[in-house]
Amino acid sequence: MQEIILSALQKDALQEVANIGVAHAATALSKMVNKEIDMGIPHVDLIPLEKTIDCVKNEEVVVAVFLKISNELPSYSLLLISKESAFALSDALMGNTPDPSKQTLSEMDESALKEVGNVMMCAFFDSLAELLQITLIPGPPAFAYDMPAAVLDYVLIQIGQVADQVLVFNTDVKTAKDKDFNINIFLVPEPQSIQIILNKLGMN
Amino acid sequence: MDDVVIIGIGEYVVVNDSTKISTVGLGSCIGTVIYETTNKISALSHIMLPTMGDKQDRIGKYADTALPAMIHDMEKKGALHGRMKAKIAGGASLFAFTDDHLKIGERNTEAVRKILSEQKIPLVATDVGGDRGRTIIFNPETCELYIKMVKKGPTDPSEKII
Repeated sequence: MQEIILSALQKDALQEVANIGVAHAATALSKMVNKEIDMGIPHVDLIPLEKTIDCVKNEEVVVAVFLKISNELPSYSLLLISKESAFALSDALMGNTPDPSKQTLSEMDESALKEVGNVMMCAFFDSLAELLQITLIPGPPAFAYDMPAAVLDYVLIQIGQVADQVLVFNTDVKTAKDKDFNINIFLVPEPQSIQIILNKLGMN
Repeated sequence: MDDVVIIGIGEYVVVNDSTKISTVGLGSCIGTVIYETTNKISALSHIMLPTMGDKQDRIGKYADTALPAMIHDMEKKGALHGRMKAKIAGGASLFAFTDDHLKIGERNTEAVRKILSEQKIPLVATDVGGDRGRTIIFNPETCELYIKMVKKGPTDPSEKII
């Protein structure tokens, strides 16, 4: 098992990388929904595997869009969107008037949300690739509507094979004015990828 | 409210009283309950992967290391191996991927079944597979395993007891 140890300086550097990526993702979202978007401060935390559940918001059910990055920087990214935010976001994307009686997501909603995830994360990874001078190719987005812990466990299983801790970049983006939706961005690099990022930044 | 012990991913717990044992949000992971009513000893594990292989790691993460260790701990507390029974839940595939190695839920389920059969512990109830996550709570008083799921379609049940 690899043990990941990060200095305060390395953590700051990773946080800055995440910050740049999230800014690009937020811009992409803003263009899609034609609204001003605010982003939170990204948290970079090294968390023991069994404690990761604490960092997903205490929602009963979330929409999750999952993308896997292979190539030079194996990582997993997960967008978590609360049920209410998912409805609002889908309406904003498709120009629908919000329907308060709506209870379930249609196939159209699902596909729209998947596309939001795809566009946001591609913007995120493009900026990362440029910054680090590497090639990053995201896989196709996958969609789930379920308990936050259950959608996270797939990512944990991948990391859990090689490490006992997970490095989580966690932040949220939301609409500036009416705060009608809020998206949680998780990026979980494989342990080897953390080293690659730090090497590229000259921070090892 | 009764006492409930909640375990995380890659952990297991053994209780010898009526404390309920629970784990939250099983996706592809498996929750395995083993209980022995004569001495009232119950245990729950939340495994992530089928086998540990050659590496050195935390035993609670893998079916082939967590279950034997948990059974051993139960015996140390006085449980009789011959009277143990098991119930399992989990092993879902939440994301619809096509590649084969991602069918981790199915592989986990097979691994747990195999170990229980090797250990000669009867598997009396299961709720595995599908595309929904599960939160489970075992009540040692009644030996019931309560399962909660997210309702996706109008006909989906949101809870069941096995």
